Amino acid sequence: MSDHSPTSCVRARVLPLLLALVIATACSRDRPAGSGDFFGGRTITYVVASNAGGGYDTYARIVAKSLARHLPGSRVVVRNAPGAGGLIGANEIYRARPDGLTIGTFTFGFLYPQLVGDLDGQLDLEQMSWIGKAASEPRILALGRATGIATADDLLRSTTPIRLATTPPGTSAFYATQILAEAVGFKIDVVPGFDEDEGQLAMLRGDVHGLIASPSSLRPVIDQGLAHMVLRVGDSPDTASVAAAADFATTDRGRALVALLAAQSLIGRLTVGPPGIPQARLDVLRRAYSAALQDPELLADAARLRLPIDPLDGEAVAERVRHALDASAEAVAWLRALSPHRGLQVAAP
Amino acid sequence: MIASSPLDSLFALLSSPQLVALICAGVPFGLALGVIPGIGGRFGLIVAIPFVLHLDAVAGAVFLVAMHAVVHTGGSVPSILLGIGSGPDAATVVDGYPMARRGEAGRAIGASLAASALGGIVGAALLATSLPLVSWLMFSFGPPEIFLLALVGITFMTAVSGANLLKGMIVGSLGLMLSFIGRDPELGIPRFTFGQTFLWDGLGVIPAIAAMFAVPETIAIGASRAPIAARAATDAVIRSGEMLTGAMDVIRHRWLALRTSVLGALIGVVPGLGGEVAAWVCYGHAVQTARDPARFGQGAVEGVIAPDAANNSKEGGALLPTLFLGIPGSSGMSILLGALVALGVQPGPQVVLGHVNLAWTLVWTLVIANVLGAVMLAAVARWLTTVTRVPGGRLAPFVLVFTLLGCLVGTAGASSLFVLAVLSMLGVWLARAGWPRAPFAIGIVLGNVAERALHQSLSLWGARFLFRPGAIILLVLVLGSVAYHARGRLSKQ
Repeated sequence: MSDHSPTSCVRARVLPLLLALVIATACSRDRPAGSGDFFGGRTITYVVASNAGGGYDTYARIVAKSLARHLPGSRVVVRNAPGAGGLIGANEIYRARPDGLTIGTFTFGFLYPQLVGDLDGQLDLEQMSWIGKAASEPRILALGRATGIATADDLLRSTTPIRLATTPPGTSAFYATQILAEAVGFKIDVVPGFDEDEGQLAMLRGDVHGLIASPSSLRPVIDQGLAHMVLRVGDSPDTASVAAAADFATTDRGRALVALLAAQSLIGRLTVGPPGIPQARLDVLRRAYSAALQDPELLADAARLRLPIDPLDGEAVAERVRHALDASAEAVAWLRALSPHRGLQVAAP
Repeated sequence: MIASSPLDSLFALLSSPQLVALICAGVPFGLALGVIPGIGGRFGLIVAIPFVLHLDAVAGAVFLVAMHAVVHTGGSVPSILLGIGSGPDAATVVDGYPMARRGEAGRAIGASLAASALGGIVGAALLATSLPLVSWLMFSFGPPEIFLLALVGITFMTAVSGANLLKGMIVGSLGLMLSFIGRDPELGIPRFTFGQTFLWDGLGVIPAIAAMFAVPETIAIGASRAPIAARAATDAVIRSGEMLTGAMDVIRHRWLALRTSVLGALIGVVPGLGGEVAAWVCYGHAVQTARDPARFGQGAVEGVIAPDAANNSKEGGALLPTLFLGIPGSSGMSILLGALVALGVQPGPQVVLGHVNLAWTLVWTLVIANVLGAVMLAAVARWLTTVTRVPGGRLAPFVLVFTLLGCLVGTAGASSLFVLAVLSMLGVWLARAGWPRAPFAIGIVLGNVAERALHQSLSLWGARFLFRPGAIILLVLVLGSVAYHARGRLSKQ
């Protein structure tokens, strides 16, 4: 359900699989004498719901490495559990024993399927134990140079529908594309069934006008002047000059929909545990995570790999999640009409 | 390192002890990744990246490209000697393994190494000559052309069915049908998944092909207790003469080797086609253009040359969109792209305009690595081939373990073992009943590619997509391929 397919995520930057082994060894320490800390001497499994080498995987590995340093005596081992757009890994985290020894990361794009009721029994974002987030990444509407549309004003003046490539229905990019058009008020013709790379190529060939993607994945074609960033949802230093969708949403429903997109963009590189982790243990994890995200070694790793770091603690993330899931009935009904599963039930993996 | 022309870049590369050392380190590493079934280049790139991040951009890229370029050179070894090929290397199994069973493992490896080296050089040449044409080359292949290219490959099912056309078509159709398991690319609805989310992404090519080829052959070897080269007509000790015979086979079939090298490189240019497509399409092409197609599947050396040339040449092709557009041509290239970005290389035309030295250095790295890889593997092949003389009862458990490992590593999920187990029953039954299995592989590799591209084409143009110039050319090829095969069948009757 992610719009961050393994291939598109990976273009962000890479931190490799061997690092997990190195981390597992390097971070292995004897339990400090007299330590009453639950995590001392234990192994924490950090599940990544995507392939090794992707953007989620890269963040996971630098976070895991640093987290082990801030939970003295513990080891943090990263394990990839890709499949079904991240649902397999996410479900594994959701169903793990709530002892704090299984945590992980997945796309927050599951927000939309949860809102429309497509995740019945497989995942419940609200119930999960939120530990924090490392960064966020805006969603960008990019349009090919050949369209002649370089700004949001050009877009809103356009009378013909713009043709946008998206991932299949039910995935977060599919929902995000429809939400943005509805919120800002421009006409679109959606062509589903492309992954992000294929969508970019289709845009460059002129088969479609554009797509919604992350700035890091769009960077090469933007730098070459082959496409323009027309609208953004979310903030980052390198997209500050791009028009914000929130400024063009003129109705209450439009603003609510942009807020929904913004929530997805904000909670980008999250770390989460299953529902029911004892509060004291969750507090330890949250404190360690916050410390890890300020660790000079992590910041140096992130700078070397050109990964933006924009942390938020677990309590604040949990609050944002609750707020995002508190969407209006009208918005949810509108989203539900887009769901490919309408009435279909899938068993938990 | 300042260089301004191809030859200057070559000289600068060869006169840099650091770069030469990195190539010499990367090539055996890449070969080892290929020789160990199921590990593969993608995993190798991920493992290698931490060690190159402290290098400068050119040095890091040279190591990674050298390593990745020769993975399939090594990958042919288990395909030929043990009958277990993962991913793109599986196409080599169809004829390479029967050659090993016949006692011609040395010849098969010689042909494979020569074809791999040639393919690598052709891929590098395409990369070099395409620098000014890169955009045109990449943009002339849209969903309609991908759909029709996949259709051309699907028509090869008839060619690889051997004498049993009806059986081949049944098996091929089964492969096609199984490729449609998973989420519908246009509607997003799960199809034939029985409520299991692990099937949303499809069955997975790696376990499906392993079930068709590796498992049945391993069970047969284990049951017979005889060595793999049980039917060796000569002393099984590999002499350099046999390797040379295999290399000479490539010269004898030079036009096939060149055609499949070029075709593989062109397929590599198109993101989204997948690594297996080049190998199977080129294998099908080899069968269809052979004077005596009945030899294929029984140990025809052309069946080794075609996929191995394509496997290595496609890496050069896949570098094009990766370097010049920042759009990876394959999953391996997507990891390489991430590494290049981390090393400070910004993909795009500036790679040609501002880093012309880097572009040429990578071209030469591809050439040198492919030749060096073939030479290195040739030097140790005589020891590797001794596995064909190990009694089957001892060998089979190890081969099965590697097959399972390949499925686990290649798909990163234990659910693939379930797929492997179920499809292995089908594979064993087909093998015992003497039904052709190559059509199944073509079906399962190309079915999903064809379906996605067809959906995209219809969404964008409706039926008009068939009237695009590239589509018309490929449509003529599809019809020509069918007509050619039909004529051959009728003339036999």
